[in-house]
Amino acid sequence: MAKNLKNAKRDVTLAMILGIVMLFVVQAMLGVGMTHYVTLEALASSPMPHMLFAENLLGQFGVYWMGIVTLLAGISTANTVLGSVSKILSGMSQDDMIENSILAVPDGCIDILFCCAKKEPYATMCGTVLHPKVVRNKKTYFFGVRFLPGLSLKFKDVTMADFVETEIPLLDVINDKDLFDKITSSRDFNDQIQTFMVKYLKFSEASQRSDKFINLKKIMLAKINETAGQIKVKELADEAGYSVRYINRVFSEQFGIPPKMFCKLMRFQHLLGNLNDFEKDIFDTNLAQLATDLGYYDQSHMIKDFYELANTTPGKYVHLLKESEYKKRIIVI
Amino acid sequence: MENQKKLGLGSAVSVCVGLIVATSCLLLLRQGMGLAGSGFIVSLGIVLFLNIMLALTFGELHAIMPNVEGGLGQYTLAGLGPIASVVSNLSAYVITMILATSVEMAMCGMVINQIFLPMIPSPILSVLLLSILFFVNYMGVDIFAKVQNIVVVLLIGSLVLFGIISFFNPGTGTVITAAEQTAPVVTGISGYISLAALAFWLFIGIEFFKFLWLRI
Repeated sequence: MAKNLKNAKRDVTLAMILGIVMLFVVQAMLGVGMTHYVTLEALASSPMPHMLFAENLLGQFGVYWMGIVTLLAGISTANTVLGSVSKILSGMSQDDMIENSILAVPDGCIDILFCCAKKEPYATMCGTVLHPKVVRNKKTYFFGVRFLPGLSLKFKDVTMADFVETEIPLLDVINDKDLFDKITSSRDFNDQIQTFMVKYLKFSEASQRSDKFINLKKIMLAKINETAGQIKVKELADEAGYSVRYINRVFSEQFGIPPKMFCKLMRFQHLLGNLNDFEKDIFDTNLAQLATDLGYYDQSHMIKDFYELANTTPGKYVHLLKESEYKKRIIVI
Repeated sequence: MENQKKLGLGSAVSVCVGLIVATSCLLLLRQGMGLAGSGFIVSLGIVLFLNIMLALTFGELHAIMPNVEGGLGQYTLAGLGPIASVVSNLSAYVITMILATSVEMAMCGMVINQIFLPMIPSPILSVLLLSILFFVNYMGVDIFAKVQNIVVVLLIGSLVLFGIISFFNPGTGTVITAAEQTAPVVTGISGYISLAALAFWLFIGIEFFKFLWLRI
């Protein structure tokens, strides 16, 4: 409905308020009017006071009129309720209110997500979030592709910066209805991978050819990956042979986030990976060691960063893992 | 859904009113009036204020989370967690609707009994009507889909007409003079405030407002 309104944002709220006010006026008028014709005592005690009111007001004609209105209202309401309550209950179970939200943590990657639901399939390209964000998805068949950190395709009018913290419908970026249809209609994982790879290689070649920063980007990403994010922008600049200012500008332009932030995300992802492999029983002593190993100044620095990006502490996270056995849910191909 | 013309503000208002009145509580207005007399308007006013706040809240929530479909439950889920969400959904839609429907059905039975079929007791009529509706719905036929709008217009039109007729006294019946009127049972501000709970039922359809954004 909102989409059908001319000015949804203003109108829906305004319509609600006007509707309530109008109803208030009608009901108040009717209420006062009723006291003109029926004693309060009769109103309060009669099982059908409105019929009494109609009779006193307009005689037998009033009774029929009010009777038919009541019947219509009653039947239409009951009909709606019978229909909608069951829908709401089934909707609750479908949405799986009990447990179907995932926390998306920042990873510096771009993902393509195909929702292959039979009804209303869609595909979006999602950039990295910068803060943990709860994502709710329907339980259905998904096919997802994640680029390595910092990698993406080059598009005509969309840069990587446009993806940060947002989702863009895939068809807006890559106008390839064929790819979308093939992947969302298939239920065969290998088939989907093949379909995607064929198209992807074409896109990737084309975008690499038109990318004039490709070598600089490669060097920077390689260096950051190598050091797991433990690198200063100054060192990065020295490595690439450019000034810090230039590196900062090109990096932000090309990847959508500044190099410092990107390194922080990489360090965080590295930490996550390490925690996932952690010896769960003796984590207390190892956390401090891990912090210095991964380039954090100290354990408290690590916990602070982790909390900012994952909304929980490393200790709690490890506990959580113990319960859910993360590894079992990932299939490495 | 497709090829729909854009709705103007006027149509949106009518949908809103229709939503509330369709789940009509004709009975309760009279009962409230009977208990408190004109003072019931104070209760109505309180509820009006609260409901406007509610409308604004839904507006804001919609701006924050535009794509949720589960309604109140999903907003609550994000804010307060799963248990609160289940409770809010049940209480907002299921329980209120169940309670409201029983009143509606009982009233339908009584009306049929009084006007058309005085020989059959009203509870039997109610149950009969309910079972017919049950089967119709079970078969998946939406009998009211086509006439819904007519029903709403009829209903609101009738209410407005009744209101105007009775308020300005041009009706054929005898007007009760001030001397004949009995005293209201509930008086005083605290009484009116407690009656606000009753008045809430008059706007019971408001929970469905947020479906405005998704349905139709």
